[in-house]
Amino acid sequence: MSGSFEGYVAGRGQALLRFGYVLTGDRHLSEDLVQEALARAHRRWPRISSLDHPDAYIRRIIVNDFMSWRRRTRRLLLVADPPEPRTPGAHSGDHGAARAERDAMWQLLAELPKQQRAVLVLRFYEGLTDSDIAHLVQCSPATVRAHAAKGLARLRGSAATLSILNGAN
Amino acid sequence: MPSVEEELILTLRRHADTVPADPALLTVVKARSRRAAAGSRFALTAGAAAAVALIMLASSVAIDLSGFGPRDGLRPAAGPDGFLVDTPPFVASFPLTPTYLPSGLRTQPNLSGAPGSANASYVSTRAGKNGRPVVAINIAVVWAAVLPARNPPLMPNDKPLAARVHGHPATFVRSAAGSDTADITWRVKPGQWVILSGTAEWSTRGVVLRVADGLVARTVRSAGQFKIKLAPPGFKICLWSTDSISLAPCAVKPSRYSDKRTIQIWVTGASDTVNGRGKPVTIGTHTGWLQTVGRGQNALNVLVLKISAKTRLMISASSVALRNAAELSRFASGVEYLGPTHHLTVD
Repeated sequence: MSGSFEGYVAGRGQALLRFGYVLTGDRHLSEDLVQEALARAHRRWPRISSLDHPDAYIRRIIVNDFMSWRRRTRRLLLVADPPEPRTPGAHSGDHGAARAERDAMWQLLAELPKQQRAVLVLRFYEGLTDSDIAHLVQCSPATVRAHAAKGLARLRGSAATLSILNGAN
Repeated sequence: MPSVEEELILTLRRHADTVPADPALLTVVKARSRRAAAGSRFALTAGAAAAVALIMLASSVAIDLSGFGPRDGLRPAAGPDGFLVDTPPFVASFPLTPTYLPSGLRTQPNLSGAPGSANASYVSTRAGKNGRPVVAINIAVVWAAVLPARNPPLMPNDKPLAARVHGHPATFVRSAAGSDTADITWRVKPGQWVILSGTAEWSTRGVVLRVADGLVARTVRSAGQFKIKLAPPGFKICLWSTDSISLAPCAVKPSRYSDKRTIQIWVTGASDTVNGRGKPVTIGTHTGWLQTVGRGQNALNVLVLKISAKTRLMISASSVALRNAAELSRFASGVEYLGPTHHLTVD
């Protein structure tokens, strides 16, 4: 692939923001991560644009940065909006109950360690193979499988999850 | 009954669908790119990115756990109103000093660090495009069993080259990817690494190797720019740079740090971004504003204090770290900004 940086951001920026959000669960942190990754990519664009999969490289930056605790979120704090209400009662309509259940799942996801969350998002949102995930997070496929298994086990094992699944019937 | 996997997929997709388009993304990204290219105020160059990553997982970082063990790992059980306790003076230190630096650099470093790492950055005497000095040489010491991965990762054509520093096998990498950087990494001893990077005209193999070869074990110390007199019990300074400092509970692993768990202090210029945000407040002799965003455990208090016509002292803390605005105000009354001058000493 090759093309302008502007074209890439116009075409893929939204997808990266969506990925960043499900990865972090935090709107402001995800914007920060994506902006930072794209800013780094901007400085290397002549080379990155020549890669077969620039997306993969940029996602890798985002994931690596997410795994780092050393996020400087503070630059965003002053413009932070109050967090969205997460209570199930905030939803209404025919699909309100199902949405509330997914919000509960969303909160459970937030409680996972970062590695497990990243692996689950890459597998179930991005649809990557364990091998691709291993390359992206720089570990072995066996480690990826272990993180995924542990993450899913924690979700399954949660009483809240069980009630979600039972209630969804 | 849907499986956990199916429920997870639906959850992720539904939340992804709530992300609005950001028409200003390109503008913001380019502005950040320009700032970073001109030199980060955190003195972390692209070549030092591996050092930044130093703490990424921090599995082997030693954290002082003595004397503190709240069950929630956030802060001890609430005490009386006089909750904050005296905190000992903080001194940043860096264990290495270069005996050689290229001409055109300031000889006094900017120090920064975190649990398991320390950085010394040497900046140019002349200003870069943004009017600030360019970070020319960055030296990072990382205490870790295994060196964390670089971020951003190497490009396909960035070939690591073998080198030697002080007799130790080393890896030299030079990237010509937009902002020229070069770095050399070696293990001083098991559990201790050094990453030395150069940028721009200081990114040649010759410069980087010569600075590396000239490093000696002499400790540089700096009292930093802030005095912190009070802190919640169990909190200590976990992250510092020339113009910022963060405190976190000793019991929390670095990998679990977040803005929810830390108290962050920094200085910034007066601008519309910070002026007039929130309720007017007075802390000691300083006036400013206090803004609260979020509620409950998600509440975050951000305090802006005018310490000069052009400088603002910023303190942010969640209700987990400091329970309310009053506690933040009391904490802030014990924070003193010493000014931009660094008082360095070398052993």
